[in-house]
Amino acid sequence: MSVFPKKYGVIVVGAGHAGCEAALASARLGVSTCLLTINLDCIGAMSCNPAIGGLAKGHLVCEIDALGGEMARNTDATGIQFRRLNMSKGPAVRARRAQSDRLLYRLRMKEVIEGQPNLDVVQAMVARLLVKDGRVYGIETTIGQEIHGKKVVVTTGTFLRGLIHIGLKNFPAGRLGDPPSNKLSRSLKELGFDMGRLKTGTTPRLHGQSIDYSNLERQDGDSPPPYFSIMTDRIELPQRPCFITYTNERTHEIILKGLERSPLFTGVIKGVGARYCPSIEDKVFRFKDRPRHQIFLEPEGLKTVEVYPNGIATSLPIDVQIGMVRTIKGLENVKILRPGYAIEYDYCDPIQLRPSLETRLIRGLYFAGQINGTSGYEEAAAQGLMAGINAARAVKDEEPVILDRSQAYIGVLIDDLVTKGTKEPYRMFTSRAEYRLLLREDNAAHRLTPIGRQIGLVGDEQWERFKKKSSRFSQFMDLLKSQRLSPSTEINKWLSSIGSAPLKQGTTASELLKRPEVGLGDLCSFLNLPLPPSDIADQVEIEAKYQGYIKRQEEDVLKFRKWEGVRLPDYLDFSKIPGLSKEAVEKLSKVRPESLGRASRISGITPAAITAIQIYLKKMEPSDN
Amino acid sequence: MHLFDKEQDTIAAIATPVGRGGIGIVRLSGNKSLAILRSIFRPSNPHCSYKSHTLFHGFIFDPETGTEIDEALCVYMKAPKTYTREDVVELQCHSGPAVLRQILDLCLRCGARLAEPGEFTKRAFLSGRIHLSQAEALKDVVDAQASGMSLMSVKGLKGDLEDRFSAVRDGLLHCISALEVAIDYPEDEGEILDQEDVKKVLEEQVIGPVSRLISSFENTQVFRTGARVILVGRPNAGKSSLLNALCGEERAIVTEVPGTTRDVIEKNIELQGIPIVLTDTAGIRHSPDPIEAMGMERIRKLAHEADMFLWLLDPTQGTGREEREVANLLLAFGGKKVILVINKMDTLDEKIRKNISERLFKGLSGMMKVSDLKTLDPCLISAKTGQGLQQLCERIVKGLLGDRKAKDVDVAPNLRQKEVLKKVLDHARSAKRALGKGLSPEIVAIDLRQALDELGKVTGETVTEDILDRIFSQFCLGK
Repeated sequence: MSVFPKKYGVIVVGAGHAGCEAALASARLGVSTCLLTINLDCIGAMSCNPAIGGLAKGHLVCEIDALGGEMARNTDATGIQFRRLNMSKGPAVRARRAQSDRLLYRLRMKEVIEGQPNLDVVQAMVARLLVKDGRVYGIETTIGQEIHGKKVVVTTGTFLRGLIHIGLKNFPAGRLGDPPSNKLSRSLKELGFDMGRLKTGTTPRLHGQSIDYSNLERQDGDSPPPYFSIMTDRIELPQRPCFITYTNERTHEIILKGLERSPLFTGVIKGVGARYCPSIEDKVFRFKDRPRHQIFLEPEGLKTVEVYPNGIATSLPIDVQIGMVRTIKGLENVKILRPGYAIEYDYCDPIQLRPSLETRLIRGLYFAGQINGTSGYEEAAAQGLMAGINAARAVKDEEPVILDRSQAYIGVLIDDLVTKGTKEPYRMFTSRAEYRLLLREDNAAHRLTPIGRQIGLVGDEQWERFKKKSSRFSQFMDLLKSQRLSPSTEINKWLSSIGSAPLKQGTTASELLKRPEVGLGDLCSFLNLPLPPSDIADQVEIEAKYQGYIKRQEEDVLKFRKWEGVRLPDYLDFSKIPGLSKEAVEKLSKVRPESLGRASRISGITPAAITAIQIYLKKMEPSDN
Repeated sequence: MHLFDKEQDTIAAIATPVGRGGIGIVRLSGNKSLAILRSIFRPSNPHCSYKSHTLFHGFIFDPETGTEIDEALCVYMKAPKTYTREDVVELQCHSGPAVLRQILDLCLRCGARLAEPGEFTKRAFLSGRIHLSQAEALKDVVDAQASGMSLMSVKGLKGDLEDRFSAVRDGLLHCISALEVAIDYPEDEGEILDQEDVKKVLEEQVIGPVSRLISSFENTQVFRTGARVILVGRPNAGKSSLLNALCGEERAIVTEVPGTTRDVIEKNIELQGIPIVLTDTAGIRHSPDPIEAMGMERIRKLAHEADMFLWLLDPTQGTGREEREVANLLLAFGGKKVILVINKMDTLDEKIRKNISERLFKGLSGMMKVSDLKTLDPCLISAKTGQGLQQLCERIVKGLLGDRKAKDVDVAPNLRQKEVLKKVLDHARSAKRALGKGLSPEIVAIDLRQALDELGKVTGETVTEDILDRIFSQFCLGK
């Protein structure tokens, strides 16, 4: 047994999307940090599809950027297609989505990690956590080395007792090609964590040159590319299209015939899969009357022939996989380079965490990413960032940063996890956010960059860019307010051309923008004003068009904050509260909500229970008489 | 979140026990109390200042119709020196339960919310108004709230009504999941938002049924608030005998109304589940003037509260000045139901009995329009022998219910549920307007989510997971 010569503030276990953000955040906050990975070549690996963003996920990426995280910058630097989804809908639900070059993504992330002061990166597999008196003090590797640190962030992804299934064959692995982490899983169980098992899956990878694209629908990115980060000025890499194809009746026939050798349908897989990320066999089986399912053929990178057929994740035997893909238009002669597979892995029910992502059981120990039952790169990165920030702050004896549900999707994500726990892989949706109109990509910087700056994660350059952007927004708003418009033949002709009622009396440009049919683009070109960048345009438009609804949500937020502000002291013994049902006491004791607001979100906690707590709290207060 | 929405509301309730005591109090607490008072109370002194903790005399009226509802004393108590430490208003009335409910309903219409059981005490405690020593009783508050809630939960709904509520919830969920799929899965083919379908479901499964539920509450209102039936007719037509006879009927449950301060006799009876206040205005003071003896002035004061008049004729006296007086009164309150009752049938001999209706109608025909007269199918009774009383009771019930059946009340929401449904309806309509204006689905969803939250107060809360369950069972999604 040896002890690593250097003692760290924060040790991060795992260098995936959560681990990288955690390690970078901690090091950037000035805390000496050690990042451990099973394979140095796989830092920031995208194990599933080569895409970042999409609805609610793009929102998370923008928030990570606003706080000073890395994911947005890495995506912008390695992206080969950028699109903005939902452009026909309101600004709150528009989201960016990018295809990245898988290889370049991890190479650039590795470079950033390697160049980060205060951060050491070491290839090692962790065997167990070192814990004394309920407090973690380091880890022990599988080759008998101890590394000591004040805080440990565990971000193990799908590696904890990972088991890959392809047909009825299965073997231990953390991801295809990498070994699983079995001892660490045992160590966590021994420490008393409540563990469960989840399942996820991925698609076969195809040889691009064996695909006939000639009759497939082509989908290019937007031009100019809508990138994620405030730090990005332009997209450097050449852009690539995706293609769209579909399964058909014959594909479905082959799949249904193959079900008898499916680990999913024969009960070999015990882990719980996500309903929103179903395998193709699941989709075909459950929606029998759907004649076809859509597949996006996504390029994996600039210098590889590999193609990711998004939409046909499968764990069917390899012969069924080959037979099935070859029924698909354009893929008649396709070669499979890597098989699709399902993977089962251990996770810890996140209800065991505090909102800082520190575990209740062991002080100084933090969990982030798939170990908490989430799925998705973006969800993982968001948690990694917050765990890294909070571990580093704890080293410096500072209060944790907790974002609430009205501030960020990150707040919604973590609040859901630690308040409700999860029994299936958790994915972010915009529908999970109560204050959806307020949590937008366009105002992510406005919401979070001041916080990032205050805690020391947002550097000078980002701060300057943010201030510039804010002032451009207010200047543009002022400009619209000051543009007086009087009824004229010219303006009324234009209004009628876009199906809007003519002006009867004078108004301002900002008033006119309130009409649903008057778009900012049209208005600017009519008035000969320069159209501001999309984020500013979105912000201007939503504030004009949805003012009433925004105000309603802001009022709701005030109410929400009031109850978040009613603190439940740490020493509160719920079993002593008269009038609480046994079930309520059990649930409250398990979650240990810090505020009355959070208590109310625990499933099964009734208004009567909340009243009982309120009354009890009041009784504990010193009498004012 | 809706657990907390209510904390800021102004709440209202009848503060006195139902059916007991001659004074009824409707109490309001919250910052809208004074505004609500001003909109429903007309002080006798037009310069009334509503000085805090001072009694004022005046009349309660319906701000929509302007109709006077009751004479009352009110007191406004400004925060914090009140029971709840919020602004409190108390309206002291002298009427029976039906009128009290009517006044409560006015307060609700003007922006108050029906108080939960124990809510005034809860506010008193949370604001620090009640002290530790008194706090032990507060467990009862929680229990009361818990039982009140469970009455409103799915378990508290029965059969048909439960089905109707869950069908509304289903309709809302259908619309919300269609919108949410369109928002969160913009790239999935075949899951494009079908606006027409959402509009149709919203109208047919939400707005329509909810409006019908609300009107079924209003239709069955008479079972909850009861009805006031006023006896009119010349002195010695047998009004008090009829009153006593109806109270003596086996089918009627009678309670005394003590402490009545008006010059009227009131008896509470119940006919086929409808609480009825029978009012006789005469017989307290004897006056040489027969019209005054009929108590016409007092009747006029009460008449707007009446749901029905029983007009007694005395066949031994025929028709005259007194009947004209009554006919004028009924004309002034046109639209109220009237049953013509010919009493003392036992005293008539066979020959007269046969065409007594025709004879009396001839006398009345000079006093009112023939068409009005035709609707007055007379009921022949003898209050003394009890003859015809059963038929009269049936006529009263039929007159109050119209085409409605007593069992309809089982599928009507109660007051609390109706209040919830009204909010559901408001949000559903506002969502429909947003759809009509072509607003983006995330905007439409705001009102639909609020409608679902409101409905959750009756059907049990719907959480995001329920919506996601619905989405993933209904749509094939995910790459």
